[in-house]
Amino acid sequence: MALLEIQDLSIAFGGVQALADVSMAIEERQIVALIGPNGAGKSTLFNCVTGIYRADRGTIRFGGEDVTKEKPHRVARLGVARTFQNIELFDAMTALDNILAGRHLHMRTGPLAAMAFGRAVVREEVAARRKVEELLDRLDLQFARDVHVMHLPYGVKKKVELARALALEPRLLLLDEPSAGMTSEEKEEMVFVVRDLARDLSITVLLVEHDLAMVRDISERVIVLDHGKKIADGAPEDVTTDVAVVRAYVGDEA
Amino acid sequence: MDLFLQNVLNGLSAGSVYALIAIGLVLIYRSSGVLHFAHGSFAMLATFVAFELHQQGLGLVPAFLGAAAVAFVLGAGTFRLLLDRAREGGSHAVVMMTIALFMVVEGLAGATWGSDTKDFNHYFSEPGIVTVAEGVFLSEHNAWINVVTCALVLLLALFFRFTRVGIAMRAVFDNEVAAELMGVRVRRLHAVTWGIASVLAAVAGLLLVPKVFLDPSMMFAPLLKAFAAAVLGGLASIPGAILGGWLLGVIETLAGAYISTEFQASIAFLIIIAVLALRPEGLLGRRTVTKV
Repeated sequence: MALLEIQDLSIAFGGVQALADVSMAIEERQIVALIGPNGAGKSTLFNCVTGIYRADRGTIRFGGEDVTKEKPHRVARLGVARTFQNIELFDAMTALDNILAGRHLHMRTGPLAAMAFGRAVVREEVAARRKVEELLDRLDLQFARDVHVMHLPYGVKKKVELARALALEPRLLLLDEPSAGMTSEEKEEMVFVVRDLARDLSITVLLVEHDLAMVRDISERVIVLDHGKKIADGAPEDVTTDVAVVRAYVGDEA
Repeated sequence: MDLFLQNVLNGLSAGSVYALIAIGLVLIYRSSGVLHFAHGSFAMLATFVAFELHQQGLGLVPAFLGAAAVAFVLGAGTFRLLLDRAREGGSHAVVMMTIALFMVVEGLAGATWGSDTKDFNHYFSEPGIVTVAEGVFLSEHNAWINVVTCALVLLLALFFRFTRVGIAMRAVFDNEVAAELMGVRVRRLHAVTWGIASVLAAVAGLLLVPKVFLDPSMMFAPLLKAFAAAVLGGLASIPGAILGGWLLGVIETLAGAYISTEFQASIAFLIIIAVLALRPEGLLGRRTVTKV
């Protein structure tokens, strides 16, 4: 059974059909790239999966469970984490606190217990902080630990956002343009980081990416969206030379 | 000099009450974007609850705890049942809702307990005097107000810095959508924020009540000053609200002592006018820059 199964997903905004009968099945531990020109529906698909948008038609199943109508915090609890195209960090908080916020769903204590600072609360907080330190080490972010993220450079923010998503210990990680705005060295590093993570932590990764070289380096499978429709799905070397794909990217004259 | 110091300390006590109310206003504003005009009325109601429980023969401590519990439920419930819906109507709907709540709560309190003033002298109102330093005296009541406020502020700071719920609250203040994707139940957290804010206001009411009299409009002036304190501090900043409260209390007291007591009521608001005209984002607020 596939980890993520999308069946005939459709959603429209006003007159624009952002997604039209899109279906796909992502197998456990695959790294899949989602590509397509601007406005193809890639981010919309992410927003549907994470519960931010509610699809007009179709179903989304995660780990066998129907999550089509679930709220974002429920989807997160089931094991889906994501990053955003335009980085949605908690700007006024330090990198450490941002990643700690990602531990939220793995902690239990309620507000009253927290106010009393009991033994169980302390134990849980210490465990969460240990986990966050591991992530800071893993992604080479120790230098940014106590810096408010609004003061961090763009590429570092991207990594903090990735670390925060990993703090959820997701089964499925959705990365929306993880390398956008990065230098080529940073991009190369990102490829290694994502591949290592997927392997070491057995995370399934679905990523939106525009850089086709990076797509070839990172993914085992590529799905192409264009005007809300799926137009190709297969191995990177096949898909990126596919006629329809090239046409979608470069236009009919090509 | 000693007299000056004493005035400052007394001002801090007055300001502490403003600060406790102002912290709640800021918490509520930052979490749900609501300017909560019924915040003082909730404090008044909780104070009446403590009074009533005490009248029924309960000790002061259980009566205070009961009042705090009522305040929490009142705050959390108000958000959950009323404001969460009203928010969808935009800022005017929200403002009307909290003003209406203010009128209703005061009216109901008046109908229940009568509008004649009552004495509610409890622990903090014993006429003891504390010697702070040589020649500097503070009434036991004012000393208690300062101690309780400092303890609560410290507890709150630890809560926001070190606990899961505190960190989640800051995350929600900062970016609601991202927080929800961390698995945070945003609405529930808003309700908890409202509850905590209302408990802080209830504490302010209980601290204040021996100085004023217990009556349905006892929190009206303190609420206005707490709003002023919150705005002075930038409305979105908790340290700003505390600073604003203390500053307001001290200036007010000094003005009463050195200029005239008649001037006391208006000096606070004159300062607000000056600050908002010169630095509209408040003392600790961040200036918002809109891209064009």
